[in-house]
Amino acid sequence: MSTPTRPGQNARLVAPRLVQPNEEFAVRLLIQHPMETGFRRDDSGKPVLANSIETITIEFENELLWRGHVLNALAANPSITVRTALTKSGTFRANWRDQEGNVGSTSAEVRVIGA
Amino acid sequence: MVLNSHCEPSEATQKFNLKKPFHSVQLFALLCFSTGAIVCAQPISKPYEPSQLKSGATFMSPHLQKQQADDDQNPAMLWVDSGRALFERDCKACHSDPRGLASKLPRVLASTTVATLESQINACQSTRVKGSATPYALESEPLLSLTAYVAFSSRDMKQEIASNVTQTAAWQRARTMFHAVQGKLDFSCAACHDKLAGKRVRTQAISQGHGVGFPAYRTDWQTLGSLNRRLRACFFGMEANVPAASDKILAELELYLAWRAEGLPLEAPAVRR
Repeated sequence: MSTPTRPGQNARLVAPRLVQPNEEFAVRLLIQHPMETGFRRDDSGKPVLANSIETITIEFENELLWRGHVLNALAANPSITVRTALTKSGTFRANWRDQEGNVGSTSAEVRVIGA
Repeated sequence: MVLNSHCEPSEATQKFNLKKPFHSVQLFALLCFSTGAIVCAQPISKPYEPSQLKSGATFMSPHLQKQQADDDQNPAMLWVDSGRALFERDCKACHSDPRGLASKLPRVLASTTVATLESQINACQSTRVKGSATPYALESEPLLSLTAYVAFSSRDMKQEIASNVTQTAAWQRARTMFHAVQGKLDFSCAACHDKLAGKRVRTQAISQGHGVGFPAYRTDWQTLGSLNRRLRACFFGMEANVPAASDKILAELELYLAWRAEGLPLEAPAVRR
């Protein structure tokens, strides 16, 4: 009765809950993904198929903030930090897709004081 | 010439003298006989006093220490997240609070085998969890997730161990293994981790060899791994015979490590290199 976790299913998007207007802060994304290179073999000697995350996007209220075509540029369980500043409250959303077609997304809400 | 041959020990005697374990056993037996039960009844001293205990994180680079300290940067927390979901589905009915489950493991069962965190979860999985009869494979994602969550739930709790553990055969076998010189490099676990902690082997700092951070995320593996896997990596590094993952000596070594680390707070899931 095991639940095989899909690559890229688990992730954390971390941003401060409350910020000042125009205050710079970090939005940090951490994705659980093996980023298989295709060069490894499993215990039985069979090659493990390459499967990396192709694209990652971070949006704020449906407006593109950061986009990366990453592939093998990142290690396993990639961590990405984007620095930004806001004038209005809203939600950050991160989306990603790997070579096998697995997609994932997660979001974090930020409130701007007095906005 | 005749005199010489009398004075110099023969090759056979020299070899005999080099066998240090036997020598120390002789000495120990002699001590026991000469001073009687008082010496024998003394508790076996540990390599580190409770105030001297330092977890593996102390010997890591500042970068990895920082990554471990921040749950949002520690990749192992992703396994904790999925472990929490699994625990709530399968385990919550009996274990309402996971806190303290991991700090009392490993322990010796009535059957004289050693229960580790992994084997204990699998024992539940194959007997008690509804609709499941098969245990998880070692190093499989669901088992890593569950062990990570259960160990995480006991974070900052002190490692506990039964006071009579030193009288069990499992502990004694593990102690012998820990002190045995083995592999191509003539190393033993004790030679480095009991005596040379803080010094360096090549570029790496030698730790005190405690397992309180496991299951841990190793940058070497690029994934989470159990203490069982880490111990096999130790044997590989010593260029000694690597036991199979199912070998009971690995569980017994986990028990011995827990005895050495008694009182040290758990810090799983840790980040190691």
